[in-house]
Formats: sequence, structure tokens, C-alpha cells
Amino acid sequence: MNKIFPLQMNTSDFLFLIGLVLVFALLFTMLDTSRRRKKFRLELPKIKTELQCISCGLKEIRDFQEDDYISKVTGEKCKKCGEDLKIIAIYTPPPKESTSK
Amino acid sequence: MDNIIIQQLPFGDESLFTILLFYIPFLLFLLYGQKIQFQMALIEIGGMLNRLERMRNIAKFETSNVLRKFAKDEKIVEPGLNSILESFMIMPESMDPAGIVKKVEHIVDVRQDKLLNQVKRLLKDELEMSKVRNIEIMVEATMALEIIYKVIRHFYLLAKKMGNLMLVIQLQMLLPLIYNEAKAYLSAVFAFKSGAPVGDGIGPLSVHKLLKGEESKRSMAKDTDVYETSLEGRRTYIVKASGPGGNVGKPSDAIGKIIEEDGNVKAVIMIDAALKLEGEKSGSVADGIGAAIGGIGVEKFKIEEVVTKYNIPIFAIVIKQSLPEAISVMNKNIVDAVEEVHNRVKKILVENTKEGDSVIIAGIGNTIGIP
Ligand SMILES: [Zn+2]
Repeated sequence: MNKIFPLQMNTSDFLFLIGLVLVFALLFTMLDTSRRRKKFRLELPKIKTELQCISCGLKEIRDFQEDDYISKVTGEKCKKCGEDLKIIAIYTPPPKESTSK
Repeated sequence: MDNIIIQQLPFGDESLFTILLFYIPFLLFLLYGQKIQFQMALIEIGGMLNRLERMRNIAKFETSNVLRKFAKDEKIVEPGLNSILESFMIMPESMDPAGIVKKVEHIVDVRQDKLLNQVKRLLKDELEMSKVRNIEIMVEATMALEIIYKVIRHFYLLAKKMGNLMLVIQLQMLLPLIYNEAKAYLSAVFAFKSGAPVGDGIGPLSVHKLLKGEESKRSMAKDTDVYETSLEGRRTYIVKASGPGGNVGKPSDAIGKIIEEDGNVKAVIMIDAALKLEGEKSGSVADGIGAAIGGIGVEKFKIEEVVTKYNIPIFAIVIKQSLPEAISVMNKNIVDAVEEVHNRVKKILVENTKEGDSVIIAGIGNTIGIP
């Protein structure tokens, strides 16, 4: 007996061990379920509108405004030459997963 | 006998209590393992179901808010929206498949018209059409969420009632995928609300960027515009749905009409968004042969019919993206693909046609935010 299990344990040691395992198991389950049941949160990326001056080609990026669409001449004026600006692109920043790839 | 067992256990003490502590959980799991697993899975699915319900509620809330903002009469919005969400479509019988494409097309067209009219009736008469269309597709995305939620709830309640472990396990396996899809539809609701281009709009965006800006447009099919321009010395017809309202149009009808009218069309190039495989880079471009168009299959069938009849080669260029990307506001990776698409278009034109030939370039997809 002593040769196979050189480490002697008595009941209280054993109970303590089981208790420890139980506590850890409980902790992990709680952590896991709380992770899975985490309240669903909606994250909306910021939409950007890229404008370009129709005469000098100066580009400008601002936040998206309602009723923006591609090729719309918005009535905003170029900071350099005062000409009309035209929307050339509307986009959100690339998602995190695809940039890491 | 007892003593022998005790002596074989890895502890020195011989209390019966210890043995029970060791064996009872073992027996419990042996006999009731399945029941425990069933309950655990049920709890998990219940959590997911709550989230799906929350998503549906958010979508419904946003949609009815927008509807109320532009409504004729705020009181009719709630019952109106509910009746739209409850509406359904019955696909034609396919036991005798001859001529089924026409029937499917008819049913889908009627549904589309009815939905648009239902939405229009709720809104102020003077509201511009592009806004009405954006609200209409917002309602459609909400409908998708409503259906997902209802179906999952059905199976959840059924499994609970029957105590059916296999049903629960299947749900548990599928739910993460379904949940991702639902999340995509929810972000679609917000994209359509804003009126900004979505990832699926890369086809229309690419062809729009081929235009110089002074071409006049003709409406050659329902909700579909055709522009005439010149590319690499080829007479080029650009086909896209009419924007900037959310809309996919009927490119097949326009392509058919152009081919018959022009008589010298030597190539049809279709540009569309395609679902990427996990691990593929979004916004990467690939080209090939065939009719690149999704949906229920009617448009694809009609395009294939007409190009086969006139023996015209058909080329496809696809821009890869995930489902969530396709129905969320277009991201930078996808916008940046436009240049590569143009290179491929030019390459196909140079390699397969001569100067003076006519070609059709169709940008397939939802044209929201792209005129
Ligand atoms: Zn300028």
C-alpha cells in the first residue's frame, strides 16, 4: 500500500481536495455561463463620408450625414478654392477580424 | 469484502462517508447524465433565445420609429407594421416543374409590389421614393429577424415540452450560426435606416464608378437603369438598379432588351458580391465564367436563357465578403476593391472583344446609397 501510494491522505485532506475541486468547477461553470449569457451589445461602427472637390481634387473626410449618397453634390464648399464638393465614398472602418488576417 | 475495497482506495482512512462522496456523484452522472446535459443545453438555448428576442425588439422599435417619423397618421403605424411582419408568401408547386420560373417570378413580384404598397400607404404621400424604398427594406430585415426568432422559439418550446434531447442538441449546435445571421440582419436594419451603401452594393458601386458622369440614363426594366458609355473603345452598356433608394431591380430584363436592341453585343460582364469562405480576405476580387447573381434564381435563369440564345460569352467578377459585411454599411476593405474590379473589367474587354464591339456590364446587388 505504502509503496504504491507513498503520499498518505486522511479523510479531512480528501474532503478538502474534493471541496477545492468543487469550488473550481463551480467557478468555471459560472464564468462560462456568464460569458455565454453576456447581454448582447450592439456596436455600430462610425460611418464616414469622403468628399472631393470637383475642380482641384482636394479630399475631405467627415462623419456621415443622413441623405448622403455617392456622387451627391452636397453644397459644401472646398476649403482651398471654394468650389463644390462631391461625395466619392461612404464607408465604415474595416472590421477587426479581417484586418488581422 | 468491504475492507478489501477500502484498502484499494488511495487514502488511508476507512470512513464510509468518504466512499459515498466518491461514488455517489459517479452514479449520479451515470444515470442522470443525459438529463443534466438536457437541462444545461436548455438553459443555454434559453439565453440565446432571449438575445434573439431582444434583437427582434430593437429592430421592430427602430423600424416603427422611422415609420412614425414619416407617417401619414401615427396611429396606423403599429397595426400596419404588425400585419406586414405577419404576412407570408407561398411558393408555387414544383411537382410539375415546367414553367416554374415564370410562376416564381410572378409570385415574388407580386409580393414585392404588395410590400412596397403596404409601406407606402403608411407613409406621407410626398415622401420621395428612395426614402420609401429604404424603409421598405428596413421592414424586410425586421421581418427576417421576426421569422428567425419565431422558428427558434418554436423548436425550443417543442424540445422542452417533449423532453427531446436530440432536438436540443441540434439547436445548440446551430444556434451560434443562426445568432450570427440574426446579428447581421440587425446591423442591416441600421444600415438601411442610414441610407448608406451596404457591402452588397459593391457591384452597382463599381459600375457607377465606370461612368464619367455626363451619360444620360434610360429606364429599360422595372427599377433598372441603363447608361451608355465607352470603355477601351467598346460601346458599353452599364446596367444597374435605380438608386439611391434600396433596390435590386431586374437586370435580366434590361440585359435581354439591350441584346435584342443592339444586335452586336459580344460580351456580358456581371459584377456581384459573393460570400467569402472563412479565412478568405474580404474585399478580394476573383473572376470567372457564368451569371453572377444571387437571389431566388429567376434573374439568373433569365440571363442564362438570353445569353445562350444569342451565344454571347458571359463573364463574372465577384467581390468576396461575409454575410454580415454584405448587409452592413460597406467597409473600407470592400470599397477599396473597386479599382481591382475595374482592372479586371478592362482585362476581360481587351482579351475577349474588339474595338467597336458592344458589351454589357451589369452591377448586381442592392443599390442603396448609389444613384
Ligand atoms: Zn477645391
